[in-house]
This record gives sequence, structure tokens and C-alpha cells, in this order.
Amino acid sequence: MSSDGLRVDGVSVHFGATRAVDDVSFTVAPGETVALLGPSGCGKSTLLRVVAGLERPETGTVHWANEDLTSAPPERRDFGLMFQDHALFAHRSVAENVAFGLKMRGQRAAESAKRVSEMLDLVDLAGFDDRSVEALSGGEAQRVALARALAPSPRLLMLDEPLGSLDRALRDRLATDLRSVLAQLGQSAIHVTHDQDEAFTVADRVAVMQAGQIVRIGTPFEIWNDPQTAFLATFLGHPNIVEGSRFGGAPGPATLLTTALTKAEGDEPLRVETTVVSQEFRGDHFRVRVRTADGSELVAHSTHQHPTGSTMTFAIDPTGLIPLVD
Amino acid sequence: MALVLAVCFFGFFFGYPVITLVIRGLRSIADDRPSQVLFGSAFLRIAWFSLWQAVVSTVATLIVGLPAAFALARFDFAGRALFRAALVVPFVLPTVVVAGAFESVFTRFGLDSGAIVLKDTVWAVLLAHVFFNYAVVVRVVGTYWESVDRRPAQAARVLGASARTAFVRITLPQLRPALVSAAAIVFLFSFTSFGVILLLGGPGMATIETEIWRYAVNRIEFDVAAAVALLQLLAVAALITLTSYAESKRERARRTGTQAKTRLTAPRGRQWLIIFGAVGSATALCGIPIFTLIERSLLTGSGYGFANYEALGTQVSLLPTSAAAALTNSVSYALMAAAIALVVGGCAAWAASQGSAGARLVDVGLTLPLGTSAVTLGLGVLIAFDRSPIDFRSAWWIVPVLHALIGIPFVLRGVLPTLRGISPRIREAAATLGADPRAIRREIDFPLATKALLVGAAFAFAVSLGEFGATSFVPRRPSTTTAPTAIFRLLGQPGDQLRGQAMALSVILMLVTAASALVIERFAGRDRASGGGFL
Repeated sequence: MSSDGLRVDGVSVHFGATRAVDDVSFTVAPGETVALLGPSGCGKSTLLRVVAGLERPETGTVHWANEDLTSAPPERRDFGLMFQDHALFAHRSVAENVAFGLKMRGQRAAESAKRVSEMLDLVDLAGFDDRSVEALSGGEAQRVALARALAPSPRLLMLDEPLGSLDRALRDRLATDLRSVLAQLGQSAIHVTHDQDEAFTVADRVAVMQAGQIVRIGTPFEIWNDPQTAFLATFLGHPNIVEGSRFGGAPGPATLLTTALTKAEGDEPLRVETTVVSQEFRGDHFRVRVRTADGSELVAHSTHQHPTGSTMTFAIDPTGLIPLVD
Repeated sequence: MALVLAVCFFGFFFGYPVITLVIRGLRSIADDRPSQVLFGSAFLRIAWFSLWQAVVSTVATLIVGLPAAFALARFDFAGRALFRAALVVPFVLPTVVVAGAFESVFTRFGLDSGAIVLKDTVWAVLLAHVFFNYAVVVRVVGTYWESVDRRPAQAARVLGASARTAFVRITLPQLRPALVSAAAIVFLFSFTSFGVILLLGGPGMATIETEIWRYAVNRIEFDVAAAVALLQLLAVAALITLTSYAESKRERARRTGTQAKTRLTAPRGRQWLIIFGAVGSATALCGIPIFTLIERSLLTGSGYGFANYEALGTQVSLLPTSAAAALTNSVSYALMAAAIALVVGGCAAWAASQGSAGARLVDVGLTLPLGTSAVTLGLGVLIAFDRSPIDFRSAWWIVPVLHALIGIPFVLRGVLPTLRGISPRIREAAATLGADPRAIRREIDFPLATKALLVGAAFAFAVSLGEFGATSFVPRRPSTTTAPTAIFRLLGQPGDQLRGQAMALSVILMLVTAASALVIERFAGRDRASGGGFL
């Protein structure tokens, strides 16, 4: 079997008795961004280190096109890695940091200068060349780290929780920036994150990891609209895991999207009567927790506030009831 | 490769003499004469004195040093940086210079006879030990204190503890690793103190250290000296193990990063008292002897002048060479010793930082000369290199080699934490950018360790300049006479003229040493590298 791009096959890494990565296989096509999404400790960073060559897998192989890289040292892989803590070289300036990979590939400072300023332009840090990296803000350091990883044009870029340490607003903006930079360069990339919004923003495909295994891989749209397992549905933030037959579906567990619960107008075939238990204000909506007649709870979104104890009747959109495999 | 170089140098010039010494000591301990000495009541008294004077020195230094450590750790006051930088000077001053300075104070202020006598008493020795080790306490504890998380103590206050209770119950335990570490270093230095005892203690005072010297150099009873040295070696080895344990705790505490860098505050009210008290007493303790020394060096038979300095060029019968030539020897040997220490210590630090099984061994092994007192080392060399083809006893180059052995721990202890402190992420980042292991060493490890290397070398230089204990075992010849041994000979003689010369030579030696201390401060700044890992 041959393919272009990255191919990871049956990779396992054990730390003592724990299986950090357990028989994982996936591919990254040229120009594609794949996000490894999962809670902390699920093995996603270890998997990334295997691909980078910083960790040797016990079993399995790592290929780029037809080249077996499983035992190649990191410096021979021509992969770039952007670390969670940025790992900038404190004893070098911004420009020297960005030029480091070019220098290691034998380029003189004069030759690499142009590439360095291109990269700094790309990440919106033109003119920062001679700054000390210790004087940078979190967002600036993050962008220098990105420019440094991108400068040698690696065939694969790996990003380990690159936005992890930043605050929400900056994170959203930088995730969008990252997406456009990667698209602009046609860069193959693996993006590791525990944040679902970030993964969905940046990636073409998302691989969800749980306990060392990839439990699901697909486009963000596919995964969101068909989580398939209760774990994934909960992890993605779907609050309502219900018995399907109670809401007009097939017997068995299902997730009821919050968008499928709307205020009843009076003539819908599928309706449910509830009592308001509590609610939280979430800016653009209220998140209302309600109790049905049989005592189970649901979460719905509403544009209005509802007094605790008042009754609410919801219409149910059957297309928003998605069966799960247990 | 680096490891092989370090191990060979060390094995031959340190391991071999020490092992020879141990064997000689073990062999002779059963003999009549050494066992008589070792188990005699006179020696027992000496051993007991060695121990208690070290304990008292340690406690006194801690008490004197803690307020200054507190002031530096918490307050921002005018002159703070200067005070901190100046601290390193007394630490590196040659023992013979300090002894000379204290003596000049005693004569100047009439403390050598009369109601209060300090000359030739244990008080003089304790004062000198506090003088030398003050910086160790202030810097080790102060630097640590600065990085200690203040929030637990604040939480205790909020929970109802008084300032005193919070300090005793929370802050003091937080400082424990630094206190233990500083105390261990001070104890070690005081226990193996040699020049101070010999010069300030007077003829009646003896410690294990001076006894080794007396038996070997004055009485030429090498067997007895070896037996005593063996005992000393055991005591020190036990202490080093403890220190190393405390150190590793300190390093761990540093790394688990109470990185909550707290801001220094402007002192208010009674806090000024602590600062004035700390800075004032330190300035008096260090300043008075130094200025008296300078004054005495300028005092001639007919008022003040430079006669003593001019006399340094002419040879006196007491010395195998002129004082000026001894000074030239000292400076060139110090340069050589610093260069050797830089190369060997750098190699050893690099090898140890690689985290192999032998790393810890190298770490402890290369620190041993610090604890293996200079006197023991000198004796080891004297008896190990005594027959051809390795009869190096009276080769001039044995002096810089001995000094380098004593300087290496300073390089090692400064560079090793720096190398170990480099986050593995940094090296990994370099690797993913295409750097092979050699390029990582060249581009990451070496540049990051340069400062620490320079500081270590400057320390080795300063230590060599002032080294007295080991050098005093090298047979006296024009090429092996150094400034400290010359000062010792000159001070030991009655007669104002020679004393004046000793003072003048001390002042020059002090200035050169202080200059190297400035280099240390300049490069080290507030780095952890400062103090070769000791301060």
C-alpha cells in the first residue's frame, strides 16, 4: 500500500503498565490539517511525539509517502513541531529563532534573512527581528514559535496545544489566523488540542482520542452531527443523552440536540411537557435545565428567561434525535 | 570523550593521591606511633575543638546572615544591588589576607594585650569564619527566600496567625532546604579551615587540619599525618553526602518552581532597622579589617608612605624569592588553574548533565575536592608523587594542578545546574528543526552555559590566588612560592619591616582577587550561576 503524505500504522507506546498510545492508525494527506482532539491524558501529545521522532513506538510504523521514518531521528524527518510552551531559544533574538531551522539546513544568515522576514510578515510580526524573545507577550511568542516551525518549509507541521496558554478571545482569533496561514501555504499539519472549538476551526478532519485510541475520525460536520457514542456526544458538549423511543425514535440510547428542542406552538406531533429546574445566562442565550414528567432532565436553549418551577412545553424535531451505539 | 578526559585528569591527580593517602593511613593506623597519637587524649581534645568551633561558627554565621538574607529577599532599598554584589568579595578573599587584616585590627586597636584580648583566641577564629561565610548564608538563603511562595504565609495570616507564628510555622519550614544547604557549606568550610586557625589561633591552637600539616611538614611524620588525614577524610565524606542530599532537595524545590516571582517592596518603619542593622554590621565586619589592612600596609617607620610596597621587589632571606616574584607566580598559576578547571570542569559538567548512570557519580566525585580539605589534598600529592617516574612533588606545575582540582567544583556546581535546567523541550525543538546532537551541543548547550563557565573560571582563578593549605605542602622553591605562602612566612616573623611587607603584598593580592570577584558579579548578575553554585 502506498500513499502520499503521512501514514501512521498500528502505533503503540507504553509507559510502564499504562498504554499511552494503543494501536493507533491514521493518515494526513498533503495539504490537509488533521486535529487530534481529546481530553488531557488521552495520549494525543505522546502520539505527536512519536510522529516527530521524539518518542520511539513499541510497535507500529510511521511513513511519509513510501519512506519508513519509524526509526529516523527527529532532525532527519523534515517535520516541524510547535511546542505547547513554545520552547523558544531564550538566548537568541526573534529573527535568530526563526532562522534556526534554515541554519541547520546549511543556509547562511544572508540567505535566510529573506525567508525570515517573509515568515515574520506572515505571522504579523514584521520588524520584531532583533527583539529578545523574553520580552514577548504570550500571543507574540506563540506566533514566533509558528514562524520558526514554518520557516524551513517542513513537509509536515505539528502543533501541540499551540493556543493552550492563551485567553479565550485571543485563542479564537489566532485559531482563525492559523487556519488561513496553513491554507495559504498548503501545509500538511497535525493539530493537537483538547478544545473542540479550536479543532473544528482549524482542521479539515478531526481524530478524537480516548484512552490512547482514536475512537472516531471524520470532518467536524460529520462528527458533530453524528457522534455515534455517548462518550463522544458528551465530550462534544451534547447535554442530552436520552432513550430514543421516548422521543419518537428507535429504541436505544440517542442524543437529542439542543437545537431540536424548540418552544411548542401547539400543533406539533411530538411534544414534551417540562418544569424549569434552573437556568444559566450564557450571553446570547439562556441554558435552561428542565425536568420531564418521568423525572429525567433535559437541557434546552432559550432566548428568554423562565422562572424556576414554571412549565415549558417543547416541540421536538425528530431529525435532531441521533441514535448512538453503546 | 568529555567524560574520559575529566575522569583521567581526576583519577590521576585526585584519585591516585587520595587513595595512596588512604592506604598509607590504613597501614599505619595499627602502628604504635600513629595509634598513640590518634587515640591519645591530646588528639581527642583537638578533634573535639575542631568540631565545636565549626558548629559555633555555623550557628553564628546563620544568626548574623539571616537578617541580611531577609532584607535582600524582601526589600528594595538604595544600594541593594551594590550590597549584594559586594558580598562576594569577602568570600573569595585569600585566608592569609583576611588573617593578616584581622591581626592588623588587633594591633591597631590594642586588642592584642590589655583588658580585651582577641589576638590568638578562639574569638578571632570565629570572627574570621563569620567574615568568610557570611556571603554563603546571605546569598544561598536570600536568593531562595526571594523565590519562596509568599501566599502560604499570607493564607496563614488570613486564617488568624500572627506575623511571628506565620514566620515560624510557614516561612521557616519553606526555607529549610536553603538553611540546611547553607549550614552544611559553612560547617564544611569551618571544619576544614586551615590558614585562619594557623594564623589567628596562635601557637596553642590546633584542629585536625593543622595537626595534619604539623605532623607532615614540621615533624616529617608522614604515617601519623596520613592516619589523621584518613580520619578527616571520613568525617568530610559523611558531611558531603549529607550536603549533596540537601542540595538535590534544593534543586528540586527550585525546579518544581515556586516561580511565583514576588516583587520587592519598599521598606517602611521598623523594616529600615533590619536593613540598616544588616547592611551596617556587614559593612563594619568586612570594612574595618580591610581598611585597617590598607592603613597598616602604608605605615612605615616614618609616617605613611609606599616603602613597604617598594620593598616587595627585593628578596628577603626568609623567602626563596622576592615577594614580587611570588605574586607573579600566583597570578600566572591562577590563570593556568582557571583554564584547567574550565576545561575539565566543563567536560565533567557536560558529561554529568547527560543523565547517564555515571552522572550522579561524576557530580559527587568531582565535588569531593571541595570537602577533601586542601591540606589532605596537599599531603596526598606529597606522598603519592614521590618517586620516579612520577616524582612531581617539586615540579612547579603541580601548584596550578592542585589549585585547579580545588577550583573544578566551582565550575561544575555552577555549570551543571545551568545545563540541567535547560528544558528538554528546547533541545527537542532544536532537533525537530534539524539540529543533530552535535549541533544541539554547539547551538543550545554551549551558548546557554557560557556565562556559568566564565563565572566558574573566575572563581577558580580567585580560589587559586588565595590557595594556601595545599600549596603549603609543596616543597619550598622559587618557582613554587606563591603570594599566600609568602605572606604566611612574612606574617609569621616578628619585626615591623617584614610585617609591613606582608600587609603590602596582602593588599595587592586582595585587589587582584576583588577584581576577579567583580568579573564574577558582572557575568553572573542575579543568575543562579553566581557563586559557582555555592553562593
